[in-house]
This record gives sequence, structure tokens and C-alpha cells, in this order.
Amino acid sequence: MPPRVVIGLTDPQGITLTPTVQKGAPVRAGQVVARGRDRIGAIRLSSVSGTVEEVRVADGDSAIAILSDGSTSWTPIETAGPEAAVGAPETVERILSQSGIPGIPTRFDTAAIAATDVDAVIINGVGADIYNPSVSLIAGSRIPDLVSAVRILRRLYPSAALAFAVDARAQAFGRQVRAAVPREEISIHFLKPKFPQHREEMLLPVILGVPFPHGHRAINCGVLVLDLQTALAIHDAVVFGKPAIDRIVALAGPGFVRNVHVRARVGTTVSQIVDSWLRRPGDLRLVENSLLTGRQIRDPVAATIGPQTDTLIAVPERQETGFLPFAGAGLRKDSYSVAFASRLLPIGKEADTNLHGEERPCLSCGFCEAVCPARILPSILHKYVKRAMIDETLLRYRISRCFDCNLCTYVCTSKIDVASLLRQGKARLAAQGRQIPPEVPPEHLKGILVKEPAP
Amino acid sequence: MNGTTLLRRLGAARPLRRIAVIFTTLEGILFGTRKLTSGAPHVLDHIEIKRYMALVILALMPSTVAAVVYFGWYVLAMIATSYVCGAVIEVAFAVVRKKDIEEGFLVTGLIFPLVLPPTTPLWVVAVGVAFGVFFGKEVFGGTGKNIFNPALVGRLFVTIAFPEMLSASWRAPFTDAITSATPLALVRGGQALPQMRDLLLGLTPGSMGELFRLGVIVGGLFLLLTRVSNWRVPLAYLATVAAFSAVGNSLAPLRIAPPQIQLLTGGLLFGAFFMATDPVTSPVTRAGKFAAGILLGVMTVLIRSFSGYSEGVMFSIILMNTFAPLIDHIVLSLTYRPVTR
Repeated sequence: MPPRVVIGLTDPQGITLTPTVQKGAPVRAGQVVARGRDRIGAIRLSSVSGTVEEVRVADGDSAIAILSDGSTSWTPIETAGPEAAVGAPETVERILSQSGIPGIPTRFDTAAIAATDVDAVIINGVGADIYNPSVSLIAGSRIPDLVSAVRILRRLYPSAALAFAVDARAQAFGRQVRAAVPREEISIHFLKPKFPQHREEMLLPVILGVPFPHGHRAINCGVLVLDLQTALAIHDAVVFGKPAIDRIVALAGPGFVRNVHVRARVGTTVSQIVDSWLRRPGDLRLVENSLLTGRQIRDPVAATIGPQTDTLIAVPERQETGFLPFAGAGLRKDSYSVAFASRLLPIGKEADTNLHGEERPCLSCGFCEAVCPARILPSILHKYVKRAMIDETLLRYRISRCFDCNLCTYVCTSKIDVASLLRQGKARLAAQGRQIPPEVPPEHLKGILVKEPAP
Repeated sequence: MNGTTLLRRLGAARPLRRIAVIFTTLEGILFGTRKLTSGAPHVLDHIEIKRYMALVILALMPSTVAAVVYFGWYVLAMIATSYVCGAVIEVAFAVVRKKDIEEGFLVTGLIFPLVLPPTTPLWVVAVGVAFGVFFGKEVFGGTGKNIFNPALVGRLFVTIAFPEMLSASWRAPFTDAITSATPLALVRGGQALPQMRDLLLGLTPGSMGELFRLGVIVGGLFLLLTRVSNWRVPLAYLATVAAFSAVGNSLAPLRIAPPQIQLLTGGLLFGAFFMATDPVTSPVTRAGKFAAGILLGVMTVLIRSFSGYSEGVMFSIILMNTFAPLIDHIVLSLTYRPVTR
């Protein structure tokens, strides 16, 4: 148990919740400590039992610090229990609205859309990033719980299509789920874990067969995308009354002595989790969730485990690259091209933060186009932004389809930060007041029920 | 003091400050960069321009070694001349621009002598590469901004400036005899077709690098497999030449040589694999790459069969370079409709 947790009150959209407890007040794990105004938006729960040490309300950085009394118990959600899972939808919705699981639409106003507007639910078990938490560790022994979660979701959203995206490498796991739950209840899709297949922008087209309405979140179009942990948290909340106060976090990357999974209470500081596992001494960079899109944790003493954290990655900050770095065989050098021997050998690739080359003018080598999941032309678009030509042409070449996966920057032969330029382009278009029109009106997604493809 | 700090101190020294780019470039080549990613993505692919260009040079090795074997050490003198003269211009531009010396020249400097006949005087090599690098690349702003393949600009210049040296006197491998005709010219003259084996091994007169065609094919496929060059242009190019000449040969057998001769003579394979694939000067879009390949194929057969020149690869590629932006523009305007509101 962490001696102290910090519950952040500002969500990724920049909305700050209002504290409902005061300094010095006793709290119990699972107790609500902050709410959105007008009851819209998420709630925050205390993840430990103890006393409120500090309530900090600052613009964009509000938080509540709680000192733990060391007990591991939590307050169960009222009315939860095995019978609630088969009870009235209203009961289930009330439990989930109090569970602290973010983003579940219920009639109690804790999410972006109403419960009746959910047309599809996708449970995502595809780990398509460089480092992913282990599917078998999180859900391998919990298939009955997963099935229970599916049935709860079915009660909540009776008319929605339910789909389960399974990592194609986890065939056995997928078959076990299939054996436990009939085809009519949920469709199962085996997907190749190719980055960024785990993103909702990629899941929707593959599973629901509709183009993604760029410029929107999936939830705004009636599609709820949940990760495995969240799906299991739904079961835990409804059946056991367990509030969403902890996460399983994978410690990944060459910066750790061992790659382990830890169960941590939300709000635990990153340093409390990683300190005993980090390779020392060494100049390391800590990154949350994804080496390609995640944010760097600059201050592990202040940063905390959030409700969406699932991986903490440590990679060496390497400034030395050795003699004639471009000439070696490259046994452990990862590359989209087949220019290194690593492509032919099934051994681990090295990961570090070096640029691996100097920035050069764009050669139009076509790598960014070849890897772009949005099927646009980053090599052309980034040149427009670089020359400050922000106009209709960018829209015409569909810059709006870019969903910031950063693959173009990753593969760039000339080490140009293409993705940042595209982001700048989108931001400057928005600043000019040019709305990026969605290519598919959200209504098109309504009422789409896809059949599972024949095995 | 290690090498990195030595190069840094040299670059910072007052008398050498004007040529500091030479030291930063050298540091990059010898010790790599010390720069780190500034945000997401936190890790980057290991491919970079030096590796990219080094692979092209590696792919050119079979042709280069064969040229040395066929024509002797003079070939190395030509390559050295090309590198030295081109490098002087490249470094001069880098120093004036205060930017790193770009690696693209490493390929140009080798490709240029390889597309010359083995009898070319060294001073012509020097003039050609200087013209190619200066007017083919640097005046446009350097690597990545040029419209034409710099090596071909140089080749075109010397072809037109010194016609008697570049298109009238050829030497077959292992001989000292100067002939006036390449196999392509012989075919056009209605003479006997050359042996397939001789063409594959390059035992016929021609430009140095294009002769050992087996090696050209191996090098070209190597580049395709490593994804350094894109397969679309060479595939479309060679397929079009084959198809167009097959049809043409059946209609006008005296004017248009049959496909197997078209493919295995002249600079077609070398041009298709090493020059038409230049990413900077060929179209960016995928459809554009196919279009460019088809355009190249048609033009090559037409020029070879109906123009005053017996070889058309160089002219075709230069023309394709000219049209590349237009092809891209057409493809983009067909692919991307204006956004409607």
C-alpha cells in the first residue's frame, strides 16, 4: 500500500472537478472526493483509506493528496452484488456511475452520451504498441469474469453490438472466450497487433466496417471502446461492489532490471512504483503507456498512476552511438526498412532515445506514406506546414484524417518530426477558424450491427 | 580527449570556423548524433540517410567491380575524379550555406562515372560531374529539392557537349579495340543480334556500369528488398518496355527490336533500378510512380527506335523527371476531391 496518493482532478480534456472533501477529513477507499459541476463528467474516488492531507485547487492542476492509514480494505458500492448483475439496468447503471470507471455512459450522467445512444461496445484486447501489458496476466485466468462483464454490458445496452478485439497472437485465449460465450452475445475479432491497431480510429473500421468519423471521438458516435482492465473493472464493480481504485501496470523496457506487472492504487506516485525496479545508475527516460505516443514522465515523484495508466516504460537516454554507427550490421537495430540484419533475426531490438541520425531535407522516400494508417501523404502535407502554407489544400489532402500515431516521425529517413508538423498544421487550421468537417456524419454509425465474420 | 571532442574543438576554433560544417559532418559520420528525441515518439527507426545511401553504394558494387575487371584501373581513376570534383562543389555549397554536407552526393559521385563510356577522358568526367552537381542539384537548393537526377544532368551535358567522345567511340571489355557501335546501334543497323550470355555478362561495348547486367539485376533487387528503392517505377518501366516493344516488333520488326534485346541492351536495367528510382526526382504518389514507369517505357522504346540516338534511357528519365511534379499534381487532384461543406 502506498503511504500517500495524489488524485488528479483535471481530466485529459482539461475539465477540472470540484473537491467534495476538505483538508484533514477522514476518507475511505472508494469514497467520492470530487465531482464534476452539474453532475456531468466523471467522479474521483479516494483510492486509499486515510486522511486528506491537502486539497490543491489551481488552474489546470488541481489535486487532492491523501495520507493512507495502511489498510487495504475498501468501501463496497451500495446495492452491488451478484444479484445486481442480473437485476434492473437502472441498478447496474447506478453502480457503475458510482464506481469511478471513466467514460461509461449511464442515465446518471457520467459520460459524453446517454446510455440509450450506445450503438456498439468494443472490448479491446489488442496490444499493438511496442510494449503492452500481458493479456494472459490481466484476463487469462478471469474468463468467467470477462463473460460476466459482457452480460452486464448487454443488460446496459440491449440494442448495442458487442465486439471483442483479440490479439491474433492470443489464439488460445480468444478460443476460450468463444467457448464461454455464444456468438449471439458478442462477436470476436482476431486482429494483428500492428501499431496502431489498438487505437479506436483503427478498431472502428475493422470491426464495425465503417470509416472513422475523423475529428470525433468514437464515444461521440455511440461507440464505447473499453480496454480489458476496464471491462473487468465493470464486473468487479457490479458483482463485488469494488470501486475502480487500482490498475495493473506493466513495467517495460530495457531501463528496468526486470519487466514485471504491479497492481497499484490509482494516485500512487510513479517513483514509488518504479524505484525498486529501475536499472541504476543510468540516464533513463520514463514514458507513460506508449513509446510512440505517450507522454514523458519528467518528475516521477510528482507524477501519479491515472485511471488510464497501463504501462510504464523506461528507455536509456543514449548519447553515444559508437564508431561509424551507420555502417554496422545492426543485429539489434529496429527499422521499417530491411536495411539491418535485425530484420532477418528473431532477437530483441534495442530501444533508446537517440535520434540515430542527423536531420536532413525530405527525400520523398515514401516510408511515411507506406506506414500511415490514415492513408494520407505525410511527405506532402508536412512540407506545406513547414512553408507556413496553411489553407484549403491541407484540408483537401485530408490532414484531418491524421490521428497522431506518430509513425511517420518514427520511420522518417531524414529524421524530420513529420507528425509534429501535421499537428501544427491541424492546430493552425483550427486557429484560423477552418472547421475540419467530419467525413462521415456520426448518424451513419447509428444502428450498425455487424455480424461476426464466418470462421 | 576522444574523437568527438576533438572534432568539436576543431570546428569551434577561430581560423576554422568558416569550414566548421566539415567537422560537424565528419563527427556525424564517425560517431553518430548525440541528439535525443524531444517528445513522442520517444524512439526512432534506425534508418537514416547515411545508411540509406550506403546501401545504394553497396548495391552498385557488382557493377563497379565488374567495370574495374573489364576495363582496368582507369575506371577507378574516373570514379576518384568524379568524387573529388563533385565533393569540392558539394563542400563549397555546404560551407557557404553553413549546413551539413549532404550524403546524396555519395551516390551521384559513383553513378556518374558508371554511366560513362570507359574511354572518357578524366577532364570530361570532372566537367560532367561538376556540371551535374552544380546545375542539377545545388542551384535548386541541394538534396531533396532538385528536379532532375544530378548524375543524368551531368551525363546529358557531356553527351551534348562532347558527342564524338561520348557516343561514337566504345570499347568492349578485355579489348583495346575501339568500335563505333554498341549492340543497340548494331540492332538498329539491322545486324545480327548479340548473344544473350554476352549481354548478361556485359561482354559488349557500352557504358561501364550498365554492362554486367546480372550484377545490375542483383543490386537492383537488393535495393527493392531493403525498401531503399520503390518497386513501382522499375516494374512499370521494364514491363512497359517489354510489352510495348513486343507489340512494336510484331508491327515493325525492322525498326523496333524485340523485348529481350530491349531489356538486355543499353542502360535500361541500370537506369530502371538505379536512376528512375531516385525518390527525389520521381513522383511521390503511388499511382504517379506507375504512371512514370509507363511513360519511361514508352519513351525509351520510341527514342531507341525512331530518334537520331540509339539509346533513350537517359533522355526518358530526364523527361520523366520534368513531368514528375505534373504527374503528382494530376494524381493528387484526382485522388483528393475538394472538401465539401
